[in-house]
Amino acid sequence: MYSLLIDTHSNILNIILYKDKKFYASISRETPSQSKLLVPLIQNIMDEQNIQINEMSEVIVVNGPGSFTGVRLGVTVAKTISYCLNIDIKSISSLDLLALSIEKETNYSVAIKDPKGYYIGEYSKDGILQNEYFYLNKDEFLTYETKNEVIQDTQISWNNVYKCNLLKIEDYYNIKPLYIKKIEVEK
Amino acid sequence: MSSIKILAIETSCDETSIAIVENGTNVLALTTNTQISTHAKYGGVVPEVASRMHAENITIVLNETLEKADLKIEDMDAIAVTYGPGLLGSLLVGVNFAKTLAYIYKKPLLAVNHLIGHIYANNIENKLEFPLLTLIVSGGHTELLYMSEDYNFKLLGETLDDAIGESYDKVAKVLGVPYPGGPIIEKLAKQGIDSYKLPLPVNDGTYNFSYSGLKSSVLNLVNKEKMHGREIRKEDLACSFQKVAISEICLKVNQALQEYNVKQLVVAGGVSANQYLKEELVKVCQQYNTEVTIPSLIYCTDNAAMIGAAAYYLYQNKIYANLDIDACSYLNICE
Repeated sequence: MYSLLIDTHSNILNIILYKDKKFYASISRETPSQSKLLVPLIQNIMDEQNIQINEMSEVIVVNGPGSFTGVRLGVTVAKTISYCLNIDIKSISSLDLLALSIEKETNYSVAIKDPKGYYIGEYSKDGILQNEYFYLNKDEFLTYETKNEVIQDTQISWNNVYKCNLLKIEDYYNIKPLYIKKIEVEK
Repeated sequence: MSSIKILAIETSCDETSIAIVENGTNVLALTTNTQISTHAKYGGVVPEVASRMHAENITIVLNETLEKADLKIEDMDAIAVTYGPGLLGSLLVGVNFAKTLAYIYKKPLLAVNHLIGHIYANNIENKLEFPLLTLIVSGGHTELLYMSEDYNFKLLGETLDDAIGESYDKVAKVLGVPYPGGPIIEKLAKQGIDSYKLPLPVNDGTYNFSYSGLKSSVLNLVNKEKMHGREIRKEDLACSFQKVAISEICLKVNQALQEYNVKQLVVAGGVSANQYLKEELVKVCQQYNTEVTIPSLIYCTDNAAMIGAAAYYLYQNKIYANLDIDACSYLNICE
């Protein structure tokens, strides 16, 4: 049983293949254009492993927060795969994805940077989200950083994705990206 | 004749549209989800909102289209998509959606220029007869082209500043008419008389257009009338504006018909829905025994059927796109 994970929330595009819920293969590529590479890299990983896309039994998408365009494309491609192959679709947030790779003795915050500020998730030492995600501009973040233990960069442990219970069951009509940050017209 | 079915996708602006078109002419199903009511709240299309709505609606629109035609994606011969020009974020949703379908079902991917789509919309109800002149009039474009055969374009002239549709929308804003202003200006113009004096376009001998001067004249006129405490007769001003705006089009078309011997004038783009434009162009073309072709309203405005119509030529000539194709917000018709 194979499953496919799509992560386009940052400028590093990750395509992960799982077999029986265990890490099997991956392709990571730093790119300014997820749009150009997303589908070709899915094709590459399948071809390299000699697997057909219709052997997938589920698709997981990192649905944000992060690059608006990135997560929108990730969600669009993932839900199209789910619709066409009639397989389950699940989501995991980018902040949860980082948090499940972190081991800490105390509470901590995870931050994901964008050009104007940071998306924040606050976690207990057991990795449980404490409240809703929020967005801070650069100045707000500087103050926040002095009062909280903030982790920005971490190696993602892809194997932990199936070990955690952070995967949210979605359906291909209703899955939405997590944008978090308000756009001008919403303010 | 064999039946070639193309699944076509259009998301270049604020319409999520998917169609199934047979042999480039026969529309088996067309579903268009318009976002007009959402963007009306903001007084114009908000690109980020448009992109979000495309991403939310696209599988729903696909499902509805397949159900209407009682067909499956497996039944298609190719997947076609608009890759530009248009709003980048919106185009990206359609392009990646199309790429995913092409990959999963191992179908050829056809990348269609949105403007060529508007021209080939005329192949759905009519047949393009070459050589022809084509006039693209929309919110983003005002172009006059000569076509000797399929996909062979020679640009004669284009707008140097605003597009004609843009000038309608800007004048609508000046007159306080809600978005989308263009069609409402046309309605108002019908009830008015041409009583405001606006500068007529100059015949500079080229095929280029210019609309920012006309828009400024309307703005100045409105300010002047306000200063003098006189109320603007919206209907009359809309009528005077429309008359000048369209006379510029007719002037250039007339000039082109003198130079080029063509069978048809093919009108394309959202503004081709304008009834007054149609009447005036027919008058000009009658003098040259040239037929004027304008699609019905559903094929005038942004729709995926026209993309399927334009994609048929690409399919026949095996001009396939690779899966690493990207969207292009700026795209020339002659590229």
